Amino acid sequence: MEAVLWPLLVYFAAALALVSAILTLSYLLGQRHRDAETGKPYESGIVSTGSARVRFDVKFYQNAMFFVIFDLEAVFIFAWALAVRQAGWTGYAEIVIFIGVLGSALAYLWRQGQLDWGPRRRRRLAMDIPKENDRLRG
Amino acid sequence: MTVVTFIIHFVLIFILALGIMVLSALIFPFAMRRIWGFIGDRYGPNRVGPQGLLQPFADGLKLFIKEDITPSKANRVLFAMAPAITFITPMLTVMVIPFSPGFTIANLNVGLLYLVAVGSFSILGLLLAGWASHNKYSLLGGLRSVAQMVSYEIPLILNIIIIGMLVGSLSLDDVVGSQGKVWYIAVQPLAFLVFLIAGMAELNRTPFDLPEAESELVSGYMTEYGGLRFALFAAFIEWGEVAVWSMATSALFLGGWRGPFGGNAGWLVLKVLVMAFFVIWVYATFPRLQVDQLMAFAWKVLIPISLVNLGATGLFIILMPDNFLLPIAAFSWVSVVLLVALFPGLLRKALLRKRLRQMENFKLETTEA
Amino acid sequence: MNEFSSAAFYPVAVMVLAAAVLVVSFKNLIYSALAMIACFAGVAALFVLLHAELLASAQILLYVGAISILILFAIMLTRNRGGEVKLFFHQQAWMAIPVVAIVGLILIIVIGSAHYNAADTAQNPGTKDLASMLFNQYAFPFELVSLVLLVAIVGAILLAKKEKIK
Repeated sequence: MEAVLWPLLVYFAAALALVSAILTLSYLLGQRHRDAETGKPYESGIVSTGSARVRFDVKFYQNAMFFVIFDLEAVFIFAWALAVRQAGWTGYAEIVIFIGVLGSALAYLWRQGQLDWGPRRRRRLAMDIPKENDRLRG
Repeated sequence: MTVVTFIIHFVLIFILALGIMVLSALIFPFAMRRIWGFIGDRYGPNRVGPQGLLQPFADGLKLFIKEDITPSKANRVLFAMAPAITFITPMLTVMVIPFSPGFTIANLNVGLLYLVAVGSFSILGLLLAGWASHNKYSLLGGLRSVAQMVSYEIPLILNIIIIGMLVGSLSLDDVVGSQGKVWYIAVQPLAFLVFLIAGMAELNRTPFDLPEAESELVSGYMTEYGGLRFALFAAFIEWGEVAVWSMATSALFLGGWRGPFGGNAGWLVLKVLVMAFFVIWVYATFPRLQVDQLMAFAWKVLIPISLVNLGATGLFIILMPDNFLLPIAAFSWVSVVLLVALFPGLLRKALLRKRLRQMENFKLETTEA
Repeated sequence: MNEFSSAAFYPVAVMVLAAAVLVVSFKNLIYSALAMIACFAGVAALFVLLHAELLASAQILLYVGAISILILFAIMLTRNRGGEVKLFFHQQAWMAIPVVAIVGLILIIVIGSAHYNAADTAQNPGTKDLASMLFNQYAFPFELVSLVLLVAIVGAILLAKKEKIK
């Protein structure tokens, strides 16, 4: 395995060097402009307003947190997958409890509406609602 | 191993990995446009060279001499670093793919885990690309791609684990080696289905290409990238990842280099081409999903299915340690058939119920007001 | 540890330490986060040198792939949104010297007093042994982990709830 590490590092460096070389070459070959609009952000031709450092929805952060938790779970299941035959029924019982607890966590997320993205309620015209309700009820 | 042979091996490996990237960047975007043309009853690029075959070279040359713009507000260092970080991902993933009998660049005994671990580098690259560009489209595209890729990574990992359990090892060489009698797509069609869907999402391909939805985000995280940097993202990385992902899928489910008349790398290439064609075909056929549907599908459908499948697979392996492939296959096939038959109806019911609830809430709100 | 890996240890260790120093010395938080990711990757390389492939892959998957995204998101979401900040460390660098000295001393004493059997590392317990140990000897801690993760999920939900009340 340690025989793999050095080639891996050199490989990593070589790939990086290659990408930099390509980009440098393209930089040297390409045209150069320094006009008023060259460095402006592209927003479909509309003059850009404000900063692009907008505060985004906290849901993205939450989603990343859920990911870390389930990723960790997956690593433990990886360990079980390796030892599934040796660990036998006790191991199976353990992993079922483990997955069960995480499954209840997932169910809790679901019930709490944490897995729903987008607006909570769809805005509709008030006059349409009785009509649509009748249609949906059949 | 002497130093000289080591260096020769190393250079050959590097050229192999690079060759895969370059070939996929040359072949796939062009093939995509021609296949799209065929499916859409149009021509596609057919002017440059015979059948338009020289089109990728013309495109490449054009992008090469384009201006290399860095937006003035962008973070220069990260803006330049992001494509490089993303480029590393497929180059590193290639290392554990078994190409032909006895030829794997690095036969790690944790190859399956390595596959998913290294795959996460590209998430980092896309997020940095989106953030460094200092553009609202780019930021949103980067965020979306991260949210989507991390959500779909979990079902991807869980289904890779299922294959690891069937083999009893995490080495990709063993995975291909154990598929002598039967390919795992026949044993675990359910895992294959989920893996396929999650993989398409991981690659940001239609119907999961929200990070670069051109109707809303121009090009998402690569909006501000031009010239060769754009080519790196749009051709090398995207299609290089498709090629590498197809190789991984072939190794996991389709027997890797195995095939009639003795296994060799030719079969792997054929399988990769078929998978890439499938990706392009889906691309031309399906409309794009909505963000909320996309996220809900990963967490509410794919992850529960994968967990149940995982538990059932383990159960059969322990129950019948000598002959577990048959019961697992039976379970998996029945599940797939049931799923395909029942899913549309269940989805429809769930959506109707949700809408009904939303409207009740809204009605209450309006009458109270 | 054979000669090859102990020769490899020093450059990797230097890389990890250099990355760690960069984490506290960069003025831009995003750069700090990237240095931290390099630090995590270096630790994964150390695991590889110790023949702990499972740990190395888990380190990359969890830290380089997952925690790093979390950290970057956190930086992008906070008030400065990735701009330059003046950190505590930059103003009081001299304070670091006694703190580092004390922590270093404690570490040297603790690690020095522990008994490591050189044969244990050379024996190279395989990934499979590690896994079956987890399910036999360490079954209870393993189940506790799932509860910790459950609490983490609840915490993650509560964190955003607070935001909404504001």
